[in-house]
Amino acid sequence: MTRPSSPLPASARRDLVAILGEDAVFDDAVHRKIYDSDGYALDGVTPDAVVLPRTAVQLQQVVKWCVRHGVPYAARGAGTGLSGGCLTLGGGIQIGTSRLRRIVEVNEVDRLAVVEPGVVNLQLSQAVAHLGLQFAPDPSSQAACTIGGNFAENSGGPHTLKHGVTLPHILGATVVQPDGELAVWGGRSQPGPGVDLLGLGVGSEGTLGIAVELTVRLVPTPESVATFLAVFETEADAAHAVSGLIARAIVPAAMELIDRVMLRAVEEAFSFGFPLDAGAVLIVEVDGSARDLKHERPVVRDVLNEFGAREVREASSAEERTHLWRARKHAFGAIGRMSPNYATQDGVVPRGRVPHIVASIAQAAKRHDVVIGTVIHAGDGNIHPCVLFDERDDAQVDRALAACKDILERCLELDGSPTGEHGIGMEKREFMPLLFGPADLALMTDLRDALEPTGLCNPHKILPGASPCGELRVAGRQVAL
Amino acid sequence: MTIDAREGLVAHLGLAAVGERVVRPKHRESSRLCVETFVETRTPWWPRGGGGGDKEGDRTATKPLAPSDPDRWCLDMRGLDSILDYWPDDLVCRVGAGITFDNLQTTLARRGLRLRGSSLRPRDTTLGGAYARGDAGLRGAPGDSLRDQVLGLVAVAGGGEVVKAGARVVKNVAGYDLARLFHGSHGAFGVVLDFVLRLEAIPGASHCVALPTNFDAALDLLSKWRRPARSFDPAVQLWLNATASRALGGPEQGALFLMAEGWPESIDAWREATARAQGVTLANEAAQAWNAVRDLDANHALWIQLPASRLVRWWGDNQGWISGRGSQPNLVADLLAGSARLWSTPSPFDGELVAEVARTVREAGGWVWSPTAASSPSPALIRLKRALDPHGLLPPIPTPVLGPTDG
Amino acid sequence: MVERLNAQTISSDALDAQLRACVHCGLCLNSCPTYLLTGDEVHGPRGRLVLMANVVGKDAALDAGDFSRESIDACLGCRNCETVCPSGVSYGHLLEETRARLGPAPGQTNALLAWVLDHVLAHPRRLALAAMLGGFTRRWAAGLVPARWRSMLQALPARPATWPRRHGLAASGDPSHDQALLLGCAQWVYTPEVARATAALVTAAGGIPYAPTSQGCCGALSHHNGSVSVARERAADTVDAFAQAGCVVVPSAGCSAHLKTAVPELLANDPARSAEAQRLAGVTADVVEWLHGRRDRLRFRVGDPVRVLYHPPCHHSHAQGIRNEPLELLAMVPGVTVVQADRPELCCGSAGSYSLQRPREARAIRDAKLESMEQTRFDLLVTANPGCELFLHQGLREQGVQVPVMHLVTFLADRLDS
Ligand SMILES: Cc1cc2nc3c(=O)[nH]c(=O)nc-3n(C[C@H](O)[C@H](O)[C@H](O)COP(=O)(O)OP(=O)(O)OC[C@H]3O[C@@H](n4cnc5c(N)ncnc54)[C@H](O)[C@@H]3O)c2cc1C
Ligand code: SF4
Ligand code: SF4
Repeated sequence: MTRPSSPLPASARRDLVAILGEDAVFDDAVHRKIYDSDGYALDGVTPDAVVLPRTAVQLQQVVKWCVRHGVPYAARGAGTGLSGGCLTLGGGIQIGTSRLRRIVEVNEVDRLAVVEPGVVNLQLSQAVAHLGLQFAPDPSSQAACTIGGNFAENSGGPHTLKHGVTLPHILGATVVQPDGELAVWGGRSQPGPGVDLLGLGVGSEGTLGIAVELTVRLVPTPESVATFLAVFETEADAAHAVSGLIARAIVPAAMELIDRVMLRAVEEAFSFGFPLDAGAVLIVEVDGSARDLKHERPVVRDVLNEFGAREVREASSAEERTHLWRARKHAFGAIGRMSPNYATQDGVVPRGRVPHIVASIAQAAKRHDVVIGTVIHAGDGNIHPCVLFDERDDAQVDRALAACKDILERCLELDGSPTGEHGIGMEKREFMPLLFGPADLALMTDLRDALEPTGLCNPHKILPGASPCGELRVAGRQVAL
Repeated sequence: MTIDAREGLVAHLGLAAVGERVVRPKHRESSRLCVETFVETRTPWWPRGGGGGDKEGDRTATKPLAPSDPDRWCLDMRGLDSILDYWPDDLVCRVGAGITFDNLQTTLARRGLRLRGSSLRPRDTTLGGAYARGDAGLRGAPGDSLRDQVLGLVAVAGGGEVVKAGARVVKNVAGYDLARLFHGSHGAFGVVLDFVLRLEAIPGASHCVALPTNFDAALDLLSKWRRPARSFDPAVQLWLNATASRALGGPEQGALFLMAEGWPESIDAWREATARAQGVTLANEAAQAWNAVRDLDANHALWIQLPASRLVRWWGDNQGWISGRGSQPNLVADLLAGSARLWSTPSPFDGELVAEVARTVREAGGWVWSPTAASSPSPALIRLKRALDPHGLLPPIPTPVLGPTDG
Repeated sequence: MVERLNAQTISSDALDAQLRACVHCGLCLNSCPTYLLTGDEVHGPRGRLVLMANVVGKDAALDAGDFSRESIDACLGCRNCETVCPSGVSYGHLLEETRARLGPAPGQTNALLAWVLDHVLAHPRRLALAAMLGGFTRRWAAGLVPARWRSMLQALPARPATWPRRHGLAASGDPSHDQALLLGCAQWVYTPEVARATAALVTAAGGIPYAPTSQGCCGALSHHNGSVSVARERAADTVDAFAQAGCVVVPSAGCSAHLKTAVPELLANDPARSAEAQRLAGVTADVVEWLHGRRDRLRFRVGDPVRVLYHPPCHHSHAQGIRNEPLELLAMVPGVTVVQADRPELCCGSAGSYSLQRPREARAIRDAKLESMEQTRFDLLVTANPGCELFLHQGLREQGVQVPVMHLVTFLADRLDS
């Protein structure tokens, strides 16, 4: 099964050039190097070649060619994935969607858009902004990641607390199935009767086929937005306030917790004016009609105060709001400047257990003598602890890894999951047996075999077992989230 | 095979739980034993919920899809009807799949909570049944369907193995999402035992109106409101044709039925806005109006998947001949979801008419699902079915009236 | 070889650390015009940084034999990627170091171009002469020119060149108060009105402009092109020419950026000039920045209503962080409605000498820029860098669009309330 990566044989090259043209087939050393990683850059995997089709038909022909010749392949969007999803583990061809970036249709009445898979998330929202609509899923990578990638990873973002992750926003997908034939999953309506292939496909990390066209839902942009910054003495207080808000029937558009270590890093790098002695801050954003906010504003303030916020500030202008979000979004950039390397995790715990995991992160930092800065999509219980280390010091690397492992295992103990957004990919396969029993894993295997009988479509991902590159070392990634 | 299913079931569940080709477990484990027994004895079976809005209570939308097979046993899930776990801080609960919507909502309401969404005839409809039928509920906005409230589930697949899918957390992308296998698949892959659900607080206020209008005008009105898109966006946006509207005592020419929920301040504004548009509240109490719609008897309805803008065109082109065939078509279109239910009173559509409807909808770019007619599944689906139901004991895979290859 | 050694103005440790700051997240991809054009990550910032490791990093990413400079050469140097990078990767700096070490791109066209940049462009009078001849050749004798030079000739600005004049500006001024203007090279020749307008605006804002006589080209174009030794000479000459100035006002985004950051680095090892270069960088202001600081003194007259599309030069947005100032100045003018293209932050393709070096790509990038303006109605296109101005002007004319294109100061000066 394992194939070493090598440039294409001349005949293969000829075939692919015949399908795609000379300027779309690359197997030179430079391309193979540059395409050997995505946002998860810790283990490079060199592809045999990279192809960049310009049309869905070309893409389908490439897949058919791969099937005929038994060559494995994987789709690549913008390569911002954080679990190595688009890499051709064990060799093969990367099929990039970067040239499939047309917005085919925008339907205002039905509130949907039909797009090619390489359309960038933010590009779509910007294109429909004048209609008062947006594509709701907003991963922090939205300026670069593609809708095809969002579809494959079922991506979330700070604002998916209210609007949900990618799944409910995808109505249909035209897919090149692993056998090379086109299939339509879903359509232009909310899923109804019939096997929910679309639901299975969303989040399947590109292992069940390549989407060549997606029909996505658009939602109205809110009329008004209010953004609060609450300063707490301890992380625990901030974490409790999260449940407090929910208990008062407030569903914020976003709710982000930034801990002390992160705060300090952000402050040192950018001087946003955060209090350095705070234990944690909570950014709470509510949106809706002007009247909704009239009701919610005082409630949010009350609850935050009630749970011990020593200061609650509201952004008074759009600039201030942008400024606040910049602070949040630059958190990892800032902490990255504090140490040569860091590993970011993506665990999830039930919302009510955010205080528990916050305590566990602190313990892990102490036990393993590492610095950990954390931001949390608090409403979703999705934690992104960021463990600092210097890769040149083996002992530090080991301690950092041990801390990561502790935290993720703790997430599982708390009835959570090791990944809320980034996917299993090649990175977290080893966690699967901790999360699922043998029967579930067997069923997942059956499911994949049924829908992907060729074994060529992004193989070796998600499910544990025969890994062509042996043991994977690190769970986690240096990246700004 | 020496023992038959009945013996095995009686041995596991006791005589009281076993009827004439029907067994009524009360717990997760006894349900599993039932399936195990069916598998061991190679007995064809099908899971049932509340009957999908069927007044007589013993037919279901699933049943007609099953081959008329007198030996097929029924696994009646209505005994699994309790709330098993409840985590107030997370707004998450775990419930037996046999619980009805009304039952669940009443219990939750005591805590000021609810499951977002409802079904037609919520008194009888079980969550398991609605999920298996792919019944999204009456709210069509993204994230509002029943499918989106299910965080995890436990099921028994056709081979007898217990499947645990998803988790208690609201965000989770680990592995293939096996919970999706049971959505919309009409029990073809197995039976769901319990669900982990996301809950929400009951909104402070709600208001329902019915605006007398025909379909075209309803869409026009909505798109005017939407330009630019407003944040007050009624959670329920249905259009009822004249027959369906009249059945509720609503406007003669058809009605745009809207229900908005939110904070009292917002709902007041919304009430004023709709009053300006000559909205009439369906009944004195908004809740009554809402209940009236939910109680519409849409049994044996054809399920049409066409987004609103195409549906209006399709209905305009086709309603004439459909009525002309001596039936009284009722249409309830969910404008947000992009789907519609079409049924006939007093007597159901005949097969020929169903086929004709399906053909025209296909031409308009949509699908029609019928409880009585189906096309053949794709090879991938057949493989999936074989993997999950290796002995072929469960009902067939649901497919649209006209399949992708049926012309 | 001399060039290579001289290029190292910064320690290799520091460069290596800058390279490592890239965490490979890819967030910069969609902001890169060459990636948008090709869809190929080799032509995106993340890919280029991988290649740079071979040139300025400690651990090469590729075997030396596999290295190719094509992707580095195809970079516009617009630095939009730097603006969006959350990890603070100093892309522009790394690029300049990389180009300095690689030297000017090989090839005959490029050699000719390097020669032109280093020897003609840098001398406004020589440039004027050449441009006048060039204009003549293009119009009347294109057939006589060897094919490989023709495309470059075609890429020359479509405007008539003029002899650089001083517009009555004094040659010296009071360093503690007056403003020394750097008039630039191409700008001076092709858009002489910019110098005049700058002087008028500076005066209107209460300043006293003058123009040191010995000034020439600041060397920015040669520097972008990797001609480090020439760039260093120009930098030295410029520092000498402005030695006494207490305030330098620069009406070209590319030049102001160069004076502020590159000149001190180029002269870091020049004992006679390094301190002065630092000082000068500190007192240099882009004209837009300077005017914005004194905007309360500016009065504009009411004119016909006009929709102005503003194109922000990369050397403002990405090199100097000047973003809102031009828009705010424009908004002060009665009757003006300011509009922008979709994604205004994207480069127009001019990019220093890029449009001469790689005319095919530059035009494709410009076409994308012009396309992004198609949805917007405007009567006037305004920008603040001579390269952008000339290149966009040419693009619009080729499409048969007769909308005037001008420098921000030209527009503002015309609307001054006298
Ligand atoms: C700085 C940063 C912040 C991030 N923040 C978030 C966040 O907030 N939330 C979040 O969920 N994720 C986040 N991510 C992860 C990543 O951006 C998302 O997973 C994104 O959806 C990946 O999109 P992509 O286009 O880059 O896909 P790629 O990385 O190229 O591919 C991802 C997977 O999708 C598959 N794929 C791509 N296109 C297709 C297609 N057309 N059909 C089928 N499969 C396809 C690939 O095979 C691969 O398995 C972040 C990443 C970074 C670097
Ligand atoms: S955005 Fe910055 S860190 Fe990320 S890939 Fe680009 S240069 Fe590297
Ligand atoms: S400088 Fe401009 S062209 Fe070069 S990599 Fe960055 S964004 Fe792309």
